[in-house]
Amino acid sequence: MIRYLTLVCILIYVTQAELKGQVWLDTIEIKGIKPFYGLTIQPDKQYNDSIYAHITQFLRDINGSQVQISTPGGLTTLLHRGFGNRHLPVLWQGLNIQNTLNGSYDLSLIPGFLFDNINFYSTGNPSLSGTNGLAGALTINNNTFRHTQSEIYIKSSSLQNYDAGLMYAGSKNKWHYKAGIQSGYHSNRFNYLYNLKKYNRHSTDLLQNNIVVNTGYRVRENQTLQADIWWQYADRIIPVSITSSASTKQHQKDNNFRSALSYKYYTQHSVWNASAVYSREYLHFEAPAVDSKAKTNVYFFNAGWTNINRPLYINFQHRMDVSNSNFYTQRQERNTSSVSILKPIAWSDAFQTDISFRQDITDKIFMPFSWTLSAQFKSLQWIFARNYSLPGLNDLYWPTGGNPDLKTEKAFKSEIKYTWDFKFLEVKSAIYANLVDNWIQWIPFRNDLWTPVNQKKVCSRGMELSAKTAFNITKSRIILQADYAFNRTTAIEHYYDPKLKNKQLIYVPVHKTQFSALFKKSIFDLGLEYQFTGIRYDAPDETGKLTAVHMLNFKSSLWLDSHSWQLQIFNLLQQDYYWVRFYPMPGLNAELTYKYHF
Amino acid sequence: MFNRFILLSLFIATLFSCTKDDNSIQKDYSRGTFIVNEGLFNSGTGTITYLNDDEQIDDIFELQNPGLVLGNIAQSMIFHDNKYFIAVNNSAKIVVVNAVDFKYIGEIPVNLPRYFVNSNGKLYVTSWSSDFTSGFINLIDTKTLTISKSTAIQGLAEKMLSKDNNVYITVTASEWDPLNHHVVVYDTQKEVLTGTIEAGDNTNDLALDKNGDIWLLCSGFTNYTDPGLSTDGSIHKIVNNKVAFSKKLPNGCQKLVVNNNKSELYYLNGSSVIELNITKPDEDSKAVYSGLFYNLAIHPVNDNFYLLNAKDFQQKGELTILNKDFKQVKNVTTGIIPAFVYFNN
Repeated sequence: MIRYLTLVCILIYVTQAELKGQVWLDTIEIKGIKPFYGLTIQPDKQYNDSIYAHITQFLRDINGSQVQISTPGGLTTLLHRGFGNRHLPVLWQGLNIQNTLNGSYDLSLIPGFLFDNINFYSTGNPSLSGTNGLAGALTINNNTFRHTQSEIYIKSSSLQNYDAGLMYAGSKNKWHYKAGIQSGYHSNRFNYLYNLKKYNRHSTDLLQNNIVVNTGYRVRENQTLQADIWWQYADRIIPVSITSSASTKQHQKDNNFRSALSYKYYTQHSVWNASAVYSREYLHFEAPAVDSKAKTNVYFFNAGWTNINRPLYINFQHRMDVSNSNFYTQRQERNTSSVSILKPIAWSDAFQTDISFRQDITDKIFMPFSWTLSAQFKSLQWIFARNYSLPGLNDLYWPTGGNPDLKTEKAFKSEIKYTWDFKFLEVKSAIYANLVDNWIQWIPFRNDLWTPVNQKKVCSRGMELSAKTAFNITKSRIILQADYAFNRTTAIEHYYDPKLKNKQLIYVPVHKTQFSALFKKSIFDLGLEYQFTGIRYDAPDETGKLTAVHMLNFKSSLWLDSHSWQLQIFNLLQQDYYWVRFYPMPGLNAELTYKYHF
Repeated sequence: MFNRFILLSLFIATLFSCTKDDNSIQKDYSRGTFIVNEGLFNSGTGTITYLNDDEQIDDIFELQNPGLVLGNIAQSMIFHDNKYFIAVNNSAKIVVVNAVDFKYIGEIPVNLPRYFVNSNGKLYVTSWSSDFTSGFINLIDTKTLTISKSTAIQGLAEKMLSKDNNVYITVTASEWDPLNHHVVVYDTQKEVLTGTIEAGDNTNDLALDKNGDIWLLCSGFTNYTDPGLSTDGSIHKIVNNKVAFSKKLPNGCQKLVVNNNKSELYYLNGSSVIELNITKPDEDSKAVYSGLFYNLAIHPVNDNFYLLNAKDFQQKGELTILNKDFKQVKNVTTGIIPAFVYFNN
């Protein structure tokens, strides 16, 4: 018993990259176990930079998602199945890099070119992805020991946006390494109509730099060391609405540095793993009468153990967030320790189950118990999970209005997926229902003062369908795809304003659909894509709504040896549309990308 | 023959003449009650709700001017020279419309315009600098729709009250501003600042009583970083440009109005409407109605109270109309963030 408890105390953090299939380390075969989410949970979408020119395109392609671009705060955020950006963990080396203060990370800052393993999970495994995992999960990693090509790219768009990047990958003896730099300047200039007149908009003035280094070293035949660094800098104008005066200036700087060191030790029966991650985030926001500076240091430790023969994963984590911001009256700190266990069970080749648990202790308080039960029987998969979401530090400690008595949001999630595989057609379907209680919302309690409260109980339910077929015509290939998503996300209980019950949450479309057709030859392809986003309400009482958006886009790629070109033309129908009212989006615009692999 | 030809041509012309796609309502808007709704900060447009007896027209500006929106944060409005002037704060302009049909006439560019006052036949508006450090009182040329004179004030110029040849201006200020507890006096004949009257922290609003005395409400400073450093509000009576009475109030009191008798004052304190009798100002404040309101006004004819509720500042707001006995008469749905009531009777 003592030996067993001792073993439990030595915990392992398992990353998905290490447990795919079978892993050979010199002469020792390690029988691999599937990604850390278990046997049954696979990514629902994987980033591929030969398809997507940037991360926002990838996010927009996720069935059931709504990407909010050019929002009043300047962030690019994702609403997935009606849930907010702060409900989506963005995991880098296991660390959730969503901002600890307000829970939201600007997803457009993710340099897709510099990572070769970006995955989106529509439900994922909430009890392993951690607190705030209510809207799935987005993981960002590099496959350290997998060979990839080096590449250079440059990109230019008619909106006066320019990007360039270099990723160098190689290996020598026991070393594997990737180092990359990506830099961009985005002006986002376009014309728009306002009050019957034409104006030119210079939205962003964004300068963005990223440096990513990923190295792996085989210490011995059964031991590896891995080091990762990600430095990120962004300096930009935050656009104001077209109804605001052009003289209103808002400016933001982000300067983030993240580093991780991990160690793995393999035996014939198990894998031991330990890692340490440090992240320093600096955000400086300026507006008339506002000059806020937030510095947050995050320290993150993992230790874990994997039993390969009798699959079992045990994991221990500790995370410390320390924030020194000029709007807090004192330094704010949060400490969270977690224990999680995942038990995969392969009943047969056709039927597998994963069961996992997590218990957090935050600032010496036991948090709600989290669990996930998922199973797969042939093409049928179902997931049930309970999780919770911690309030951000701003919610708790904002000097006037912060509410230290705020309860955590609690969620129950369920999803059933089924895939039909016909000879020439694949159809995927999903139905889901997710419930969040104690939903946090800021409301006024005096004309000039606001406070967060646990405002309502929200239910998100819906259905997603995706059909794909491909066939050959002589030496060409045609790929057709159609996606449809239906979502209703409403407050089923509202503790402050009962009139807002059963109203669709703002910015969440009820209907969304996409059709694409791709014609592929050996060295080139041509594609057409139509996206429909239904009306979205932008007032909680459904009295204000944004019109439906019809987006027709064209794409063409050409490959010649190590060179490739991609031309994309967006908004062929020249629609005037908004994701947020009075923040116009570009009309017809084009983007050209060149890549060289070596 | 020629006459028949002309008649035929005219007839054909009427068949093909252009018709304007115009849903505007033919009506006289020179009398009525107007609710100025701010709209969502930074991502919305202000709107005007029109009320007259039992009639309500929403978004009257957009209805009468198809294809146009007011702009971000409609702050206040006033009638002058057969026109309505609407301060659109975050769009840095004053929109001018015809008072009868509410049709757009033009705009006056001015940074962060706030509130108006008519004084001796002239129209003035307060405004702020874009860095929020100073304010201005601006004289408007209502014929040419320009600012003919702009006088700088230290601190953020806010509400105004006209009495005799003077305009009294409150100054929203922080504890670091030199004029952090003053009312500024402006001579409308000489068009110059003539002095200040020192009162309480953060002067907010003004009213004139039946004796011709000025009442000044001060909010106190709210320290958003360290609430423990916030200061008290206060109310003062100003007689012959001197403070004759002062009384402390809780921090955050705002929006001062007077009834038609000019004997009772009313203001907002947290989630209460407070009444103060001008002859017994020393008595404890009396809460006459409860609710979280963004602004209040009193009808100049029937003494009904107009209480504006912005709710969560995201959905349409609500106007609650109470009679003199504080009994609810009517509830009206307004635009988003109803902020100001203007009566033109």
